[in-house]
Amino acid sequence: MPHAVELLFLELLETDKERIFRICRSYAQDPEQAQDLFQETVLQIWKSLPTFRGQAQVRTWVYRVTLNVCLQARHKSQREKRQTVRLEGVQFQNLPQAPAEPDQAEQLQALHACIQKLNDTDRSLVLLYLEDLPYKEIAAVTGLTENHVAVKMKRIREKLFTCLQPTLC
Amino acid sequence: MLDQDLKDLWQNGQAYPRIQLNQDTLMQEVATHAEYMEEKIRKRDRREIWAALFLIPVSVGLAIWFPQPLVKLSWALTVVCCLFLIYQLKRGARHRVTNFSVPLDEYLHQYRLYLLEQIKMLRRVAFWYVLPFSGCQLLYFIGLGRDLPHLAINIVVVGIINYVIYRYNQKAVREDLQPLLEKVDQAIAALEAR
Repeated sequence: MPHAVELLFLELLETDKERIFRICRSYAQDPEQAQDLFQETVLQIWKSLPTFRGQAQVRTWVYRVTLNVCLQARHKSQREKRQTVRLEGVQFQNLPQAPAEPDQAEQLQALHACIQKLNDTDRSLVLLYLEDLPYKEIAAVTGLTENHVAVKMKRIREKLFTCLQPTLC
Repeated sequence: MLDQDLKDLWQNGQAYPRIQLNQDTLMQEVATHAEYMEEKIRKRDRREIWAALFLIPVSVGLAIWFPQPLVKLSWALTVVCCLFLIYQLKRGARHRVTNFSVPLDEYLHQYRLYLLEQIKMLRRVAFWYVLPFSGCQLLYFIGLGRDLPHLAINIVVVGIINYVIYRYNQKAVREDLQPLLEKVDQAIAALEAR
């Protein structure tokens, strides 16, 4: 594979690794599975990179791969789930956690719980929204029209805020 | 809470592990793993095809070796069955999803198509695998000119083995593929609903 592709791969990983991990964590049942999903995504990004034609933004393209890998993992059988990728080149270091504001920790916990209550596809949309993607980009990631995304996001946001209401009050 | 507060909370409020990339090791690993995974998928697809391909020259040899016309015919038909089996296996794998960079909607539809093809193939396993091969086996035993009790035992054994193969495939459809298809259908319906 040409050197330019390697550079692009490493650059986009460095730029987007936290975003990718946040999405993986939302689809994983535990932190360990989140790490497996992250590594699987890294591998799929590498494998898919030669098909990147530059028609979509790199970020949009990375989100597509990430969501498709996460959804595929949800659709895998138990036997397939045991076949996970381990990359030594990716190391996860647990940082000593700074004491969070009690309110913030509670809100964050509630946000996670509310996201978990959404179905897989609504979750995809809300994760892209929380990552601050404009509707146009969300549409490009999901394959829906921008208008369709707007309609869906209105409903999902209402659902999310209703769920969060008891914690926010 | 405003939208922006929620986004800030999501992006900055979480204590995730720090991800460190060792670039040299990673580059070596992704190249190796990608090749390894490709090879693994190829091998899995080819395993049954190789078995059928192996059976073809064996069947031709046996068709030449045995003098009885019905036995010759049974092995000649086995060759045809093997070719049909290879065709079916290749056809079943043609919609495998390998491109993860397509939009979510397209990915789900492609995956659904693959699952439908697999289910269709396994549901019809009796027509492209069980019945043709058991027919050849029966013809072989009849061709050998065995007496009725022996022939009856052969028929029962062939029947049981092929019934187990059939049931095993239907179980895979029922317990593995059908629930997956339902999940994917639900995901598509949820994504496309307004």
